[in-house]
Amino acid sequence: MAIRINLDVEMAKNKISSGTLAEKIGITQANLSILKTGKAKAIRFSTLEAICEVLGCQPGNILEYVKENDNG
Amino acid sequence: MKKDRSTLTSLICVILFGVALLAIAFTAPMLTRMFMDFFNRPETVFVPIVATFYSIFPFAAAVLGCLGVLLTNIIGGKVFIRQNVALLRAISIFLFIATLIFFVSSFYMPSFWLLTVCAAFMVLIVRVVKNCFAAAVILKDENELTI
Repeated sequence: MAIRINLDVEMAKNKISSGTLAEKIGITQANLSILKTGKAKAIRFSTLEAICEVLGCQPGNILEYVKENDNG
Repeated sequence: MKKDRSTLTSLICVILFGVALLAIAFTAPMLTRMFMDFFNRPETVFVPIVATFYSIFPFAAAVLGCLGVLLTNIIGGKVFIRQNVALLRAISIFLFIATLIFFVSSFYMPSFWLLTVCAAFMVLIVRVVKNCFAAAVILKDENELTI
């Protein structure tokens, strides 16, 4: 997928576990896992807002556009 | 609740059709004889009519089986799943085969033209419903993967 999710990086910076983040943003750990692994088809603004609020970052820190043929 | 009753009624109808199909399977030659006597048909069409029925019987049974599984899934709350799309595809294929059998049979029994047209129309309806289910499965998947 052309949109890469850098949630792991932001979570590591904030030293927050998946369970805690899921609880704070109000989604299940299974859904957070779908988001982290890039299997999600879409993300709601409300979810993105909650993530940014909890992690103290901007949407651009979490979402990154990469070209399809750019594997690096 | 009303919706559940409707699905259950459909399932009961499928079971009743299955029982009727089985009963007809055992009495097909006798029923054909009665039909021929009633409409004054020549003796030569007896074997082709019975052959047509027994050729269609397995496909009709398979369609009823698929409908039974489909309705059981719907009652169980599993509506827009890939298995249901596959079942609808199988039903359309079985109906298509039945259409072909009726088409061939209509050359010796002209009234089978009507059944050929009806069966072809049913194939069309089932194909459209199958396409709707396939689209719904994609939408459901996307919805489930929206976090």
